[in-house]
Amino acid sequence: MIVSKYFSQSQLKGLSKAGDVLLPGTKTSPSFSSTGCMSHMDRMAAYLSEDDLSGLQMLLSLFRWTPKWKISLLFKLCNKSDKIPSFFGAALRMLEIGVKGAVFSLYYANVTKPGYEGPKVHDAIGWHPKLVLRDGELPGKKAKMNYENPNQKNVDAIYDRAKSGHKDLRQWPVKKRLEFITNLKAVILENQEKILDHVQADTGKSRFDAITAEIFGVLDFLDYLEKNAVKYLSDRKVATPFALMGKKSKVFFEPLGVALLISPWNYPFYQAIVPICQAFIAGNAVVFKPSSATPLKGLVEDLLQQADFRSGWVQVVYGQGSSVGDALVDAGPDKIFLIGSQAVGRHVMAKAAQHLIPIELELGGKDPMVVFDDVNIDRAVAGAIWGAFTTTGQSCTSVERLFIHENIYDTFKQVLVKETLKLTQKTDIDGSADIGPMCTQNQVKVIAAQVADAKEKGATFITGGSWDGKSDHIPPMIIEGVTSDMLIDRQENFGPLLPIYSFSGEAQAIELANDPEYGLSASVWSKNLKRADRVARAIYTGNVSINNVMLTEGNHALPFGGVQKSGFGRFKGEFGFYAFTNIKSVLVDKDSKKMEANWFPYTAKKYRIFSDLTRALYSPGKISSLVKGAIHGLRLETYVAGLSKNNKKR
Amino acid sequence: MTITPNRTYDFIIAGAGISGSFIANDLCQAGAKCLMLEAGKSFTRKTYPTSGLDGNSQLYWSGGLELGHDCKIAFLRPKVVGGGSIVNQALVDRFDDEAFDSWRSVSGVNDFNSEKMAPWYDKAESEIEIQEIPAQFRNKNAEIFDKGFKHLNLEHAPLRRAQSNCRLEEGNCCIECLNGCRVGSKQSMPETVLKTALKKGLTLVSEMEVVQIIRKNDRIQVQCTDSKGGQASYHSKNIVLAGGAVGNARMLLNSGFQKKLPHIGHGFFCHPQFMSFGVYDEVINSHLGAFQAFKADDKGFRKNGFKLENVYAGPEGIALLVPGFGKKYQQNMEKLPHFACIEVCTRDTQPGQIKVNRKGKVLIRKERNQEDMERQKKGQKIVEQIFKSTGAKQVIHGRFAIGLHLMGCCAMGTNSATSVIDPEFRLHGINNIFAADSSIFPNAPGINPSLTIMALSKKAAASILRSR
Repeated sequence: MIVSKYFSQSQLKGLSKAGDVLLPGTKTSPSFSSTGCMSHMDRMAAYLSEDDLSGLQMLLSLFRWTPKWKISLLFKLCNKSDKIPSFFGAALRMLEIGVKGAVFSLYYANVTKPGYEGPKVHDAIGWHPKLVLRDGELPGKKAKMNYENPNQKNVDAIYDRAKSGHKDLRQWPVKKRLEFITNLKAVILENQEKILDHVQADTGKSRFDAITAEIFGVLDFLDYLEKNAVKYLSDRKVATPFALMGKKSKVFFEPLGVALLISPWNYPFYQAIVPICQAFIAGNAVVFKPSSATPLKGLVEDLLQQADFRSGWVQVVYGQGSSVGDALVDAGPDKIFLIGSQAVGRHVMAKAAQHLIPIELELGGKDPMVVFDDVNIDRAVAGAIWGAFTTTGQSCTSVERLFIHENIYDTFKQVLVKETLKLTQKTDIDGSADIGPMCTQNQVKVIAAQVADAKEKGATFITGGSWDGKSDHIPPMIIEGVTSDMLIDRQENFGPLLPIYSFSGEAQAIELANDPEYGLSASVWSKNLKRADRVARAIYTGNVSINNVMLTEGNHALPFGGVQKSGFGRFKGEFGFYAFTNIKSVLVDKDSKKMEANWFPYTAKKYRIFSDLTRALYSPGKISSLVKGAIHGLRLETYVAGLSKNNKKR
Repeated sequence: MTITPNRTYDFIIAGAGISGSFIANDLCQAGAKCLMLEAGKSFTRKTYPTSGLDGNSQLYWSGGLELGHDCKIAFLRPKVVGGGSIVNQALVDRFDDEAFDSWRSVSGVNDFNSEKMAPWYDKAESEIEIQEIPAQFRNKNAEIFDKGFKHLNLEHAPLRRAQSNCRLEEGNCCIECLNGCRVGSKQSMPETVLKTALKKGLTLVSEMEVVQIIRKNDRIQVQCTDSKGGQASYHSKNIVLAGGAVGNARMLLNSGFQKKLPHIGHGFFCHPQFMSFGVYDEVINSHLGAFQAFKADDKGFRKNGFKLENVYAGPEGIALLVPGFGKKYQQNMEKLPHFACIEVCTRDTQPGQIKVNRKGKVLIRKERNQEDMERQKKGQKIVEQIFKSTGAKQVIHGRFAIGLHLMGCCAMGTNSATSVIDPEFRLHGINNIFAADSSIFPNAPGINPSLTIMALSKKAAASILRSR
């Protein structure tokens, strides 16, 4: 799909149709529409006068619903316009020059859509002019961009491009920006297999994990944007109080500028597209840095380009966070959004603080799952296994601590172990494996240390105890007897580890579930929804699923974010739009002679009336305060009007 | 936002085309403080658009073609720093006695005289480099022109062009220079006099369109809008109108000067041109090399009020001129390498008129009378003979007339009822508003106007400086 700033989809279809009537293609020449030269329409439209543009828009809208034979008839009539008297002849000539002008200029300029491989128009018409340029005469080429481990100069160039991209982008209304989202959706659907191959190559995760989280999740988010972005980003009217009668109050939702987005390695595609589109839809240009462990090199730019995103709107920068991260922050984005670990979050936030750059952090969690004794055990077990081991436990909202009511502890444990042992683990191609290996060797080391520490301090490994501490195929581990002095209890695991604990009652469950440090998400399981609700409120965390696990993220209308050291700020849902928005307050008054009562000069009399007005307006009694307020308001206005008149005389 | 710089300039020059650049240069050389305002963009050798698509969009008003009320002529009106000198074919011809005699009789201005103008032509020519296209670089399109003329016993002469070094020996094609010359050979204003004026302290503000001229107590205030819709206002003691026929008429009409000078906007001429293509069996490749090497120099043509030009255009332009549509049309376009091209340029006798509507937008009214049509027909007949006599299998006449020498609307004359500018280049009765560009032409000369605009501008600058 081609997106134009000036023409709707239906008008572009009209152009394509009229273009094919004029230029249907021959043996050697391609047809108008096949070249995709229409994708360059804005290069021309940007310079048309308003009248010409609206005329052309109207015509193309008309063509959209006119059959080809009628359009053809119309142009045949145009050929005879000289024989048609004054007004109609002129109208036909204008139509002919207008439409042919647009169609022929695009077609015969030899421009095509990206990736066009058909015959070129200039070859078909033998047009090959030549101009030998010498050094120094070569066109002012756009600086060659280096996105891999960019040095300071490269980073400056990247931000310059982003700034000019933003300038352009902020003029596109939300509705037009959405057309790119629609494009991207189609491109992702079309390239689904290629994307999954990329994701699996970089992460090793199972294909099923990849399709649900990375493809379905992304498409669902884009769908949410399509349905809601216009609503949440449109200007809003807000109430204006009585004391400001006659004025209007509005809120504009404007982009911030350039957003720097830093994403982790666990969901490389989802964590790329979702923040990029969230920032983009609000009108921001994006500098995106994926994790160096799972960069999906070249994929995101390629898809965005296919979706017709302009260069400068979104740029992907590669490199180790430790080497390029600082430069990207120092270059002064207007907003930073980071998903990652506490350590990285702390570092980037300190850097951002030096420049007073607003930042939002989505950091790790140590998410509890609390299971009461009235649940359907089979379902709760299945939920626990999925919550703990999906993506091999490498989710920030993975279940990392499972609290089971003592009444069902043994039965629950038995089923849990039995079901866990059934999990298959490999990087598959047909979607049949449950989990894959670990994504990064670093994380394998972290887990090895935690496991060794737990074993030394006496924890029992009910499953997975045979792991050699080196293989990236870490088997799912169910661990009992974990105590608060163990690393496994204090640190985020980010792997397939599931410590289980028992509790005796609601109060104890809440106490155990509330982690002193983290607060990202939690789940509460109980048939008694009132109790579940009570516990959900009592857990200090950003997201809670009741009788399900990790599911708040399944609804893109829900905001996502943490408390405590799990981060701050919210993205996705209505509130997510505001993460990348300058929420601008505007108060509109009319131009008039009128002076405001609170402006100078201050006089004793004005003071008295104002004090009367204040008392009248805010004393109890709705009607009387309104009436009295009106009276004193009028007094004040008359007095101020008199004052300014006298002032003039003086 | 309204920017109101405190500075008052000696001169504001409204328009950065040929006339504006020449006058600004002479004024700056004499030490005047000058500000030049131009609605179009400023390009360099490295930034000129390289395709017809971008060239038409970015270098002209209305994004390419402008149409008159009857849509019979498509007008090309440059909007760029350098004006016509960026997009023209760089022909430099002096007017002959015929042109000046008719101007003198229409305007009553005695200075319109070949002899009196000669020193100004000399001065103008000394500011730029002028070359003839060497015989070895004439392309096949020129050969056909040459053969046809000889065959029909018509006079023609080698063409003089404002160019310095096209490096044709390297295989360069002139077709490029219709969108600004990227090798700096074409003697456009930014390469020549505008460059020297800027060195002498001229302030140039591009993408700043003059909307209105307010004259208060002999001072000039100019109201402008920039390309983003912002407003600005500038102050000066004098103003030189250099926006061309349509631009000057529009500025004056929007400023209400027509109350005193009713002739503003009247007397609009445009040398309507008609391109025709001869289609040959052999490959012509008219776009290669120096495609315009000859000019017609036939007394009979002059008498009959037309000229034949040995020209060509980019594929976007030719596409619009070749009639028809559909498969057959595309097959015709596939024969493009077999096209030769000759243009009939008519000397129009029926004046048109420029008006502005309530929003200040330009309305062009330009019709052609019987005589003007006759001139076209006579010219096209000879073109057909040339093509046929040189072996063309088919002749295609372009669909539309093109108006690209936009002249008149502020004619110079001695009578303020029938003209706008006095013989000293001032608006009648106003001592600080000047003009010397094609807008002051009293009628259509039938000769390429650019060199004469340069000469008149030199003369005007001298006259302005004398009166200070």
